[in-house]
Amino acid sequence: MTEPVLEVRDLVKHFPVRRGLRRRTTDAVRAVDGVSFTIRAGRTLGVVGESGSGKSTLARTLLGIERPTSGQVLVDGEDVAHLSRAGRRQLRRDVQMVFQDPYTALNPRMSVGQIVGEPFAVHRVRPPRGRTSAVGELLELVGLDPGQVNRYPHQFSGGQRQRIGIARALALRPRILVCDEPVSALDVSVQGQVVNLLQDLQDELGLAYLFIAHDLGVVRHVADEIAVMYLGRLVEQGPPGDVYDRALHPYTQALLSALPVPDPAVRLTDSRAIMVEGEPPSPVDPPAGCAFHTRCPLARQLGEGARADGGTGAGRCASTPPSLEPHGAGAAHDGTAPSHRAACHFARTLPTPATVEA
Amino acid sequence: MERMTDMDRTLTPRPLAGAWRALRRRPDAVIAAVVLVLFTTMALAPRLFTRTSPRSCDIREARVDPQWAGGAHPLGTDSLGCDVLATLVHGVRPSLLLAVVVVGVALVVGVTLGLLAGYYLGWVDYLVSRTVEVFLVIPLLLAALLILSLFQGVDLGGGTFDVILLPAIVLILFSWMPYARYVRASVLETKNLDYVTAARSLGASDLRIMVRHVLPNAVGPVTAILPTSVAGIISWEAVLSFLGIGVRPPATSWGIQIEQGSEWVTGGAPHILLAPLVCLVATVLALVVLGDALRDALDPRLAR
Repeated sequence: MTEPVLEVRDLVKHFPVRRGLRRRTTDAVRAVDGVSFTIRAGRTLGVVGESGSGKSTLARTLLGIERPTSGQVLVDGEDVAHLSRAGRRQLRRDVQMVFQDPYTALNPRMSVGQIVGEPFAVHRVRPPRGRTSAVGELLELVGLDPGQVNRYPHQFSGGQRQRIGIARALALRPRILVCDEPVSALDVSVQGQVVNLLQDLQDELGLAYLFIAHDLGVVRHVADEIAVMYLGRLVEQGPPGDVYDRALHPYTQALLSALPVPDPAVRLTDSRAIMVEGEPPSPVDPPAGCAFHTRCPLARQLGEGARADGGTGAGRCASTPPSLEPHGAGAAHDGTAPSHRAACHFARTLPTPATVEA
Repeated sequence: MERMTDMDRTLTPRPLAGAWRALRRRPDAVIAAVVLVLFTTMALAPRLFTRTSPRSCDIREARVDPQWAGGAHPLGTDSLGCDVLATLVHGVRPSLLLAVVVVGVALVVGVTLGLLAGYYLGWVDYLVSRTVEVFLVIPLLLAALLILSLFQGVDLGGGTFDVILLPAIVLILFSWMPYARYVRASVLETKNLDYVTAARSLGASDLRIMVRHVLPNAVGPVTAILPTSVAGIISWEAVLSFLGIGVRPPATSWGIQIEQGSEWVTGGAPHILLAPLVCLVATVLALVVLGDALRDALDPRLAR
């Protein structure tokens, strides 16, 4: 098995909240609060979660736009925080990003040739056969006509713009591509094309993907491993088959039950749908114990009576933060396949409601 | 190999060629350009337009009505008997030069400070914003009088630049603030867009991000106020002339002429005011139209 290209250890990113005249730091938004994972070359880690769960902050921290509060990011086994100047420059080349909104990701005043060629200019790289032909090759690689280098972004459709963004990200031959909801702003018909393009590029170039999305269907299609994020933490992680069909964490189960099924024969009955009520709690002041216990349907089921009980019942949810641990079949994993882990004291599988026929 | 050279040609965009094509499609822009070329020639070679000297004045022929093409005074004479056309033509150079210098320098200063303030925020922004506010609350006339008294008696000479030096300093000091504020505001909006994040994650330098990504997308509002700023400078020059720190006599300017002519609007000689005023309005309109056309031509989103 190859070494992981990207390893994240206990990554934390807090944003200070300053209040009052003296602008003292009173609190912190815990955007990312202890996240660990690894990605190998040619593999894809899909990260899912609601808005505000810290997915985008995670991406920005990996790109070096935000400085992590604590924790480590290792690219090729080297700690990013201890890199030399040259090493940091190399890191900028190794990790690239594909943005969510193709309409704001491209500078409207630059031609396609300038946009795709900018990475060469910034890093003063002279491609072997000249910048012009390198730009043409990149456009061809993402399925665009190299004759369109002189056009401007507004002359392209959303899907084409996303391809331009991908071409720019690929210019410096990165090893890791962070895709922050790369298809959620696109037409459904175009989503498929862009996803397939990303997969083809992965096979061709051996890229490692961190694929952030809230569309569970897309993530299942592309990911080799899935991580579910809630309030800045991973609550469940594992191979897509396990996570989708044998979800352990009540939050994942709720997310999956909200997934529409494009089959009229399958019907969600009300009793099967797992409802999560209310808004996610504020990341400034996350609940004690398990961050999800305030909205958790399972904690509710376990009963109000058990709440006073500090050890076994739902009371544990409010007092002890659960750690991300192997459960079920994944507990006996042999170290090669990604294990199926969940951060829940009472993790157990539920029959996925979507698969229950009405 | 041949394909590569072909690619090279297509890769280098030629915004100026495109701009010219777009410009030709707008007749109003062509008229505006003609007006500006006319005044520029007037500034460079006033003798092409009049043979009368603005200083040969005959008080017995004061306030003569315009005699148009046939007479000795096509646009009449002013209250001192000087030829209005000659004064007008010889006043173009100081007026336009002052306007261009003041707006140009103020624009560079204002845009630079606004860009830095909006991009870096923090103490840079604090410094720039407070300076803008200080300059906004100091009355221009007060500062002008102060500078006037400082430079009283200093002989600056009679060259083209020397006669506009004092008003230029005063007007630059008090006209850069709007540019800084407009640019700062639109930089704040632009700098968080994804393409700026993309450039930053690529490792682009701050200078590159500011010059290539932020500024081109943030100067729009400023181009809209430029032509009217030119008009404002020319009329302020008139006010300063009145105080004695404008363009120094015996040099003439549109501002001085407007100032003097305004006394006789109801006194039977409105042409003394109207002649420079019409020229001023024509210049400003031409700049507005041309500025508008130029902005459309340079913005790829509006190109057809």
